[in-house]
Amino acid sequence: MLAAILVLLLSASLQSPGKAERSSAAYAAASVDGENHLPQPLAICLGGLLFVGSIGLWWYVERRLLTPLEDMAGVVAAMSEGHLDQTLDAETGTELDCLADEINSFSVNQQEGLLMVWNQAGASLQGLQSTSEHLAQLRSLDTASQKQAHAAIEAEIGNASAQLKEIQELVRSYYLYDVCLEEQKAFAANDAE
Amino acid sequence: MGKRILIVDDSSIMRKMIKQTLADGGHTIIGEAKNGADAVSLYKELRPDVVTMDITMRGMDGFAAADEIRRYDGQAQIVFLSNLDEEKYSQDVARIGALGYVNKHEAKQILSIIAKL
Repeated sequence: MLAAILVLLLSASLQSPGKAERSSAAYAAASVDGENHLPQPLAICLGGLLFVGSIGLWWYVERRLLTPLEDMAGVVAAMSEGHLDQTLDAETGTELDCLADEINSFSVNQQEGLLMVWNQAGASLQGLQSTSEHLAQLRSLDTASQKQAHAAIEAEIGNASAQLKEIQELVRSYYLYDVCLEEQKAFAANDAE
Repeated sequence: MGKRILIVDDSSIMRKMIKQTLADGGHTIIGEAKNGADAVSLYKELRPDVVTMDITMRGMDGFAAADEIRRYDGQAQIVFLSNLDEEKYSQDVARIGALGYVNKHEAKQILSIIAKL
């Protein structure tokens, strides 16, 4: 763009009064002795085209890439702070739509995982609360009722275990960076037995 | 005999988990959709035996998609599979004429619902 401006200015300066004659003579001289100089009108046109082209290119890059990228960076920064309610516009008609779509999918997966954990934790807590109440009642029961209470407690513990295993299965659905999950433990990938 | 099932969920992780649950139950997954609009067009193309439908999806949600599928095919068998509270949405489920509603943290219950077909 700077080059275009310089060519324009140079061409304009060559057209200033008093120099027009000299420039015409120079033009004629160049034509007579066969030197390959760029004619001034052509230089001005080319300079103008370069200038307009540079403006257009800058506008295109700004509008289709830089501004959408800035917007995306803002939304992704919010997502990284836990704002999974943010969504990227994936229908801008630019090349960034694929990237936006995949980032939205990532956010959706994160939310679904969190909701699963929420629900499983809630169900497990209810089960544990119920277990606790049964244990409290055990002291006042006769032998047959105690057996029933024990069976109920075992069933609730079984349910809570199954729910927590579902959470573990959810975590296993992910591929983790440098972490290996074995049994009930997590190891750095190089340290896993 | 296993059913031909279309899974609809905007989460790829959830689709993977549901697919595993259904495959373990002997069913065949014939298609996956990540939003309501895709669900409707895939239903028309594939004509599955059963559709598992998430509710919260960007764009067209599960209830709107189920409405449209049922308008297209009054015999469509749809099971809602969601993380949302069942009690709150039970009326919508009944209105649409879905087979049932299963919470995702108890996803295996969907096998019992499908077994009754």
